[in-house]
Amino acid sequence: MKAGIPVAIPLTVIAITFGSSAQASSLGTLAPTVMSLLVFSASAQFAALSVMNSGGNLLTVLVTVALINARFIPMGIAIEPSLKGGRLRRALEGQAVVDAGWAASSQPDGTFDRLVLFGFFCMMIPAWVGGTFIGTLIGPVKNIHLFGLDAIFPMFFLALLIDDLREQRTYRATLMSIAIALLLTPITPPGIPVLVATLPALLALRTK
Amino acid sequence: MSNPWVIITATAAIELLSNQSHLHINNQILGVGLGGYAYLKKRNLVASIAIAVIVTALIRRIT
Repeated sequence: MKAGIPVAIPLTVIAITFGSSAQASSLGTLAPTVMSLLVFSASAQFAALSVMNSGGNLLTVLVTVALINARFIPMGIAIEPSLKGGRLRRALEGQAVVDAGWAASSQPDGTFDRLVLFGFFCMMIPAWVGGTFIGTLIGPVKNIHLFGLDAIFPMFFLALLIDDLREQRTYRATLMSIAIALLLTPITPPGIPVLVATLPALLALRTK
Repeated sequence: MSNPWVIITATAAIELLSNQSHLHINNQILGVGLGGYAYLKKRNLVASIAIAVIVTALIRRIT
């Protein structure tokens, strides 16, 4: 759980941002807080809010969120061998998968440390849900992007990547993924670049 | 790759490119780049995140 603290603290701040933005969109306090508890995905929730604010209908929201969260499919496939029990238990344990916890729990041999995953989950769920609730109470904050808080998660993932870049196989897969993401981001809907960029990682696993 | 001026120049060049809206990058590059360099040197995650956030915020206030 201690490993989750550097992420939980800024996550709380981002959650407050989400709650504040949701309040500005007249969603009240209960709905955003329940959304954070049930959806538990910052990118999907911000995307849903953005689509709703721009007048999108329910189908547009669902498609956008599904595309953004589709990255959890390969993440779930990758972590499944490291989870315990039958299908139901593995499905329940898989609910603890979030980007930061999934990345931090990955081991050099390709397996995942369940306890690190659950530790991250235990730190992040109160941070995300509690922060959302606080944000709805605070209300709209003007020019929140000027605080640069959206740099937190890219920096976190860069740090994890730096630790893994000693291996040449990882280095090549990373460069290919960056190239794919840069090529696809301007021309495809949100979620597609991330999904396609996972392909070099799968190829790297096959050449192990 | 360990030369800080190479990293700063490269990230600044990307930062300038990122101001082109069709690239869909939003002024994080230099902050995250400098934070990454700090992590390379000191392996302190909290400090690196703080650098990334502060630099990104400064760039947005200046530009």
